Amino acid sequence: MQAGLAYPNSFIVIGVMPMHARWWGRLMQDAGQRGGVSELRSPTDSIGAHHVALIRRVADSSDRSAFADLYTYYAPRLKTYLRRLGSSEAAAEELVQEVMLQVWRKAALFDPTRAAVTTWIFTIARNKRIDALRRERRPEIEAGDPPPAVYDAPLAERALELAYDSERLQDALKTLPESQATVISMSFLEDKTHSMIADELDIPLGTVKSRLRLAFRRLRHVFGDFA
Amino acid sequence: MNPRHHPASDWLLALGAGTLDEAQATVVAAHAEWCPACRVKVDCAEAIGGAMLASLPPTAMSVGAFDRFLQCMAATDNLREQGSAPSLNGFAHSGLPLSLAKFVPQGIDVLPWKHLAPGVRGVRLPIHSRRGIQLCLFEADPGAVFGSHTHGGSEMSLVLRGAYHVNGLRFGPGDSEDSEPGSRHMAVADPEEGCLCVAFIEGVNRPDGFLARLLQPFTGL
Repeated sequence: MQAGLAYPNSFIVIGVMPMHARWWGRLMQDAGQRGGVSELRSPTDSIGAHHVALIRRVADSSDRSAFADLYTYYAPRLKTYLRRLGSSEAAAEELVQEVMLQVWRKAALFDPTRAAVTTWIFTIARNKRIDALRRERRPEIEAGDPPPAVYDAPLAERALELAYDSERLQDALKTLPESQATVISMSFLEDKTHSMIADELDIPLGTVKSRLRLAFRRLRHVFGDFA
Repeated sequence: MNPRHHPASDWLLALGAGTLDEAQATVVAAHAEWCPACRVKVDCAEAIGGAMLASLPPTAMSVGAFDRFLQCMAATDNLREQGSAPSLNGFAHSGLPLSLAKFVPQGIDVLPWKHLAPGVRGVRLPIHSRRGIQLCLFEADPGAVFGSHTHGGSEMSLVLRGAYHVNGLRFGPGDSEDSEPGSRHMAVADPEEGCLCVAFIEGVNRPDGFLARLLQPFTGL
């Protein structure tokens, strides 16, 4: 939480989440059924729900202390993500700022029935990075919004799974066999195409693809029957 | 009707991860716009990305980064968006999937189509690829034959309108055909409808994919 050092003290205020939205009640009910989540600011297993509450406060009341909490958590992780994908120190920081600015501006568009906060922020960062790479090659093209995600409004039940299971997915990632974890990590965190992975690991392309498919199927099981 | 031929899941995973080239991403995303089952997989791939982001060790931002952020935020605060997310589903007015429509803002009729083979026309869309992968549209009259060649690089085609038949299989709207290097190919446009397709073509060093060869006159591969 190194970035917290830069905060003005006044931003470090813990607010209370108003319980007004229907989806929020459902999320909390869902959390309760999973056990162990009885209040908003409980520890690790409710980070996802806590972040949804923070986004809501940013959206509803431009709550800067809520945003500061999100920044503290996500900015340093986004920086790691972008550095691993090859951005320079300066470029990574610049992109992190752009991503977090998007989070601030678009908080009202975040839909907790579609994705976890961390997933939403991941997609913003992914798109910003792709956009920056394309701009380098085509300076004449104005940087627009990233391409829209391809999903439409999903079934609420499935969405709750998606939104709520980021922690379970994080656990599942840790249990992947080494060979599968490696190709997944190279895909997401090193910007390697499947052929590049095959070359680097000196294994056939078909093996890379089958390992990715196996890992993907295994991880999708976290979402139960929905995926 | 939902598509029956889907990209292999590693393509959907790569779309979610953001590692596909623009041409590849366009074709795979266009299929996903048609296909609820594949959209779910892309959602899952993005959720995996989210879980990985949350699992990463933090790297300290430079001193004063948040203060600089606040200044920038204050300067642009009139740009905040209100309201709910726009629907991301549906097709552009042109009838093309949104991920493709942005490359043909004026519709496909005004594109500089070129004759490729009897009854077959094609056009390369203006994207620049990091890895030399091209995005092309091609259109075949009813019954036109695309040819039979050995594939060089990987290719994927997606039917936008009409259908074509290959090895006894019918590929209709929304269906994608993923052709690995080295596969054999013989495609015939539907005898009644013909077809309109989009494809990405990986040139590599052997431009002998069936689409690559078909489209060679203007891809320059």
